[in-house]
Amino acid sequence: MPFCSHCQKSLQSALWCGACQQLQSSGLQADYFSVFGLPPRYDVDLKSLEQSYHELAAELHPDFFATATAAERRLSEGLSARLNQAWQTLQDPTARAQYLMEVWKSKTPTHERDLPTGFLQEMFALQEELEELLEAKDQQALATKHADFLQRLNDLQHNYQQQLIELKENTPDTTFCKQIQQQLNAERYLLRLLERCSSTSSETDL
Amino acid sequence: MTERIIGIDLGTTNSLAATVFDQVGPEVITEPGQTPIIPSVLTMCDGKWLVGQEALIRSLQNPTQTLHSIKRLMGRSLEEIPAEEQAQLPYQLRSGERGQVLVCLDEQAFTPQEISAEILKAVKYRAETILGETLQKAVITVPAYFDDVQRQATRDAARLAGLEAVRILNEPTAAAIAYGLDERKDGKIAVYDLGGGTFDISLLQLTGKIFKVVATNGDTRLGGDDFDQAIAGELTLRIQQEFENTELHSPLARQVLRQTAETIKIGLSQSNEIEYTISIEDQSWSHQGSFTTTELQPLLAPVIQRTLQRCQQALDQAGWKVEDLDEVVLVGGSTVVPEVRRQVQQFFGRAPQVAIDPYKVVALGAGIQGHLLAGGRRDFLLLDVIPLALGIETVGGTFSKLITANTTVPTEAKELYTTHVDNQTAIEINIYQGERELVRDCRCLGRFKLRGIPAMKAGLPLVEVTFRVDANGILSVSALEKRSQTDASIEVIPFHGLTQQEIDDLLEASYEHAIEDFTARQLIEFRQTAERVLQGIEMHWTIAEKALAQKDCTAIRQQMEVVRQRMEGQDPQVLKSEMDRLGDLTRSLADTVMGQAVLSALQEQETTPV
Amino acid sequence: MAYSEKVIDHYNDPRNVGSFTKSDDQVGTGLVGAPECGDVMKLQIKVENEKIVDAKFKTFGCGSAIASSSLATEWVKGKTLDEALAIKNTEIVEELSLPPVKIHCSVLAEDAIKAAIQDYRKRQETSSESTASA
Repeated sequence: MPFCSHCQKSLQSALWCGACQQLQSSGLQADYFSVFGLPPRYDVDLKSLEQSYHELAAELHPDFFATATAAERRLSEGLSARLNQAWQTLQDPTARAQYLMEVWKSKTPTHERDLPTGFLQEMFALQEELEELLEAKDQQALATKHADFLQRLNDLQHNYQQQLIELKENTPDTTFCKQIQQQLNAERYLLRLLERCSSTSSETDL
Repeated sequence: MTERIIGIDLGTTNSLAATVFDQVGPEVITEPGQTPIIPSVLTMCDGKWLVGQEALIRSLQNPTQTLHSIKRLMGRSLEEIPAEEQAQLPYQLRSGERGQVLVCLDEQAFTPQEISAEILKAVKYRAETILGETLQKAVITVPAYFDDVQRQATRDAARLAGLEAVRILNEPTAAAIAYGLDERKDGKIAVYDLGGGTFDISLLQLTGKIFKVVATNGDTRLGGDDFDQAIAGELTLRIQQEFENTELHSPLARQVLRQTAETIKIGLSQSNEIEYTISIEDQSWSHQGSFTTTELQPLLAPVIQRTLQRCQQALDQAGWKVEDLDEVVLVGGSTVVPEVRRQVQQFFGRAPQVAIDPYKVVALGAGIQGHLLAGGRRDFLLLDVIPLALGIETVGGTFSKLITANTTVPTEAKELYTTHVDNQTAIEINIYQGERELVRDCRCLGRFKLRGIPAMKAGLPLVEVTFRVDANGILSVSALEKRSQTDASIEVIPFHGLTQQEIDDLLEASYEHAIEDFTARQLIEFRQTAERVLQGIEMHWTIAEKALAQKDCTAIRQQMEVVRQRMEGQDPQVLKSEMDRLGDLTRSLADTVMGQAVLSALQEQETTPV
Repeated sequence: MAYSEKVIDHYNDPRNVGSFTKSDDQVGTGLVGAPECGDVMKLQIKVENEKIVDAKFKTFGCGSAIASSSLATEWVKGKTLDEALAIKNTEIVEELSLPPVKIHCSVLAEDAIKAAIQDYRKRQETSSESTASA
């Protein structure tokens, strides 16, 4: 835990000192977990996260600094932006996993573009299949595809989330990171397929 | 609490102000027994602006010189205003600097910002007179769906009116504050805000002291004006059926039709049928007819349907269903139309909440927010969102989003840019706002030119550009070259709106001619009132000498002398407090024995120091 | 920043869309993807005497990815394999004025060229045997 730049007490949040009520300019670069005083771990209690978010917002928001000095107002704006982004990222299961990978990346190098073997070939084939269905406007087949992809996406998400929750170490090894990264990458290709299924306009071939 | 920050609802058809009074709480700023509303209508009279009711009264004598619905033009260029909409306006438009729309009046042309500034001035002066204090700061409301350009235009209008817009607040959010603080219940609420010219739907989650906007949607060119247009269209048909080849396109005819349509719309809010007569000066015919709610319904339906589509989009964006909502709140003058209420109730499956006057609720919320900003309270916090995505142009004219719609503000996004040519020292970025796929369907907010990049080989500079959106939903951009840690300077070339230089020039011009200094005006007003009060007492002095004790008479005499001295001074506040003291001393006299003259003079001083 | 006619043309009317037969020994196929956005790109080259005589692509992705691969196929035609290997993504970025958010599309095109050449060379090594990887 970092310390307050004014009263030197340890900080509950990297953005703001609860003891002396001071904004922390170092918080502008704080990682999203330390914004909430949390260790970089996947299992986050969303209810208490939201509560912390609200409590911090009610201290940092520029609306409470309208009569303060320009410098303080700017700092409150920057810290509020940081807080909003941190909340936005950590409350979303996929964004939280991606962010964790970012945090680990400095310590555990992984191949960012890694995919399970044969996955890309399969995606290309599926895209070609979809193209034909879209051209034929075969709504029924498209709906079936959509359901398939959705199921696959849900399974994938459930799988990596489970792995992340069960993780014991704070800094996992390369094999583990690689596994998660592959799944996160695969997730985006699946999302892309789903997007195309639901779009019926000509945008699809852009 | 420090300096007062009032809330101003700057509406398409009506404007008004509110503030939080000690002990009383939030109230609209008005004189007892009078309407707080100032119609957003203006005209020029002997080179001076007339704003509000007076301008409205003259609108029929002077249709081409009467400006209304100016808010619809805020932050727009002439080419963005459809021809049919231009044709419906009784006044002329033309294109100015950077394509900005200008409104023609007499031989002059004004930006919508300048005209809105006149409305704001009228609101400000009235509030100052009633409150008896100088006002410099305000929370000004805008439709939630206003983009960056429209918000900046509103802020510039405030600046031209001598007001700092401490906060640009979304109208439905303002309404939610007024309601939420009234009820203090956690839950999900929808605010349906149909004004004169704009429509907003905002979905909020209330949790304890946090008011969080989850999604917002709307249409800045949809409102009660469209109802009037639809009715006016029907009236035109009827007249032309009765009198063939009638010319109804003159500005006067349009103004007459528009006002009759509005009267019919308002009349049918209270009864099922209304009679009307239309005749136009210079034309020999006179048309009489009646309108029923059944006839009205199909005219309004298409407009209402468009608002409900927006409601559905907002629900989808929030991931909510209609059943999830705990409350639906109606805001805006156009929601008093029964057909609107009926359809909204049908769509949301519940009776909408209308406990607070829909004409006043936005101003009240803004007044409360102003109170919070001034440091008067911290028992609630508003977390609002950016209504439309912000992004940049990519190949083929596609729009690449950096900040998506409904992101909580303040927020920021960073992008790394580099150079393509050796020793390149400048980079240009075009920034757009909108929800469509192609930039041509979005608004270009401006071109940002980054300068002062240190000369290096192509691809070496790492320029980190930060796009910041503040709590008002307004964008600012800064840039840093990371290798050398030098700030790149940014030149903003706005595609719309006023440049800082133009604002400064306009402000200077307005200071030069016009005694708009509040202190000066107030002093003149107080001196006149004091003169009347002193005359009143002198007139009835013989009665006073008989009725009052000697020492009371002496006290009054002495105080009258003090007031006379203060009338020579320059400080209106000092004069006011001495007059108040005189009022206290003569109160019993006025109440019991003195004639109505003094009484009414004193009452006049207390309520309307004009 | 108005895009040049040429760029818009690559976007509206991409060149060399299509496929060659994979099994053809003269053909090298590169299949790459961008996990940033889920785009997939297949780029094929036809080689005679170490020189690329033709190129085709098929891309499922955004406009920038399509324009990048269209441009890449135009550029590699007539080049030797070594010359084609020297094409850098930054050149594509410059030619198409791609903004930072779309730089990965140019990376994708560069990777696709490299993958196609690598595939072709692998085929030449294993000569008569047909390769398993695509």
